Amino acid sequence: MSQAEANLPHPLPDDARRRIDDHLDAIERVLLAGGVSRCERRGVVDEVENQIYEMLAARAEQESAEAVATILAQLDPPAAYAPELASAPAAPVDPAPRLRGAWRLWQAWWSPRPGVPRVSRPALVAAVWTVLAAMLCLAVFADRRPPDGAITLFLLFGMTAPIGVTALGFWAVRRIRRSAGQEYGLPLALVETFFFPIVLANLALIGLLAAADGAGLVFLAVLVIVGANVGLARYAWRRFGRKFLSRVDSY
Amino acid sequence: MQGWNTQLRKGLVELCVMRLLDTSEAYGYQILQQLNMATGLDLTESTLYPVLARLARDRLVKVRVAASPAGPPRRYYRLTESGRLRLKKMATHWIGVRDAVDHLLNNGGNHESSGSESAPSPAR
Repeated sequence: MSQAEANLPHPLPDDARRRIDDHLDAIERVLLAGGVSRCERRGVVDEVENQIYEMLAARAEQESAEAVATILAQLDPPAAYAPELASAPAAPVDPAPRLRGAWRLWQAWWSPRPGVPRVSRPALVAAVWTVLAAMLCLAVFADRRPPDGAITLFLLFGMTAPIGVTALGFWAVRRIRRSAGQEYGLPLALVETFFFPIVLANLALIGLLAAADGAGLVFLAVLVIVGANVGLARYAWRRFGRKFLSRVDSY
Repeated sequence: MQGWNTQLRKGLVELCVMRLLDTSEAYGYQILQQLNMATGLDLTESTLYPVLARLARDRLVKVRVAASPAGPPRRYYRLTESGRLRLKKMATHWIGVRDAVDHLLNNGGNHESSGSESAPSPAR
């Protein structure tokens, strides 16, 4: 029992305490998404917690769980904390007056929005890029004489996909982990981060296998392929897997 | 978009909080109750507490933590010297704005009180 609860007339049931914690955590997430510093977040959350316990103490005659529910219903929702303390965002680059509308639309779509959990935008872009690269790859290599447009598009979006998608996937993982629940899609972002490195590594090793002449070298190449994949999977699991499983609700 | 009265209230919170803390120290919930009783601004915690955190960040108020009989330790706020200077400037500015708006509301923008029929001077 915390010091705060020790001062209450009735002991606080676990469920009621969890509801208070959930409310405070939600406020902190909104403030965090708004770019508020840790010091200020703590100040605000401490004040709200203090107010809850002050209000609880004033309701000595009421059963604690019921009082907590009533008080939380009276308080502002966590989303109400979004605009007040948010640090002024950096002024967006204004490319040209004609593009202003499109740029604003893009900014609204791309930037995290406090209080509105949604799929990570870099992860979505990387997914679309991967599909596009696969389709271009098919269009170019399945046709003996592909049109020039397809080749140009393949050079632009297909050849750059391994680097672009991996970078976007990595960026998405970072954004999701730092968003405190405001962005989700971690499994997708992880797949995007490791998809092309694994594919390219395997292609290189298969090339090595094809070039290998002799049973000993083939066996060695197979071992290298299996070892590389297992090593990469273990790294991914150690780096992200456990945390993901333990906090799967947040993502 | 929020109503104009909500925006107006939010703009005045800082001034009211600083005025309240000029005379005595108080903790967050106490400030909320006092402001709502005294001013009728109908403030809520999501408006007040971020303002308090911002004032503390800007060192306009000093924070003292003390034990509470009702829950976690209370954070008592008191105006600092730089806070008093800011309050003085804000109060002066507010009085100017208030008089101008009063004049506009009472006279409908006409300069009848000065007896002049000419157009208002351009804004500076």
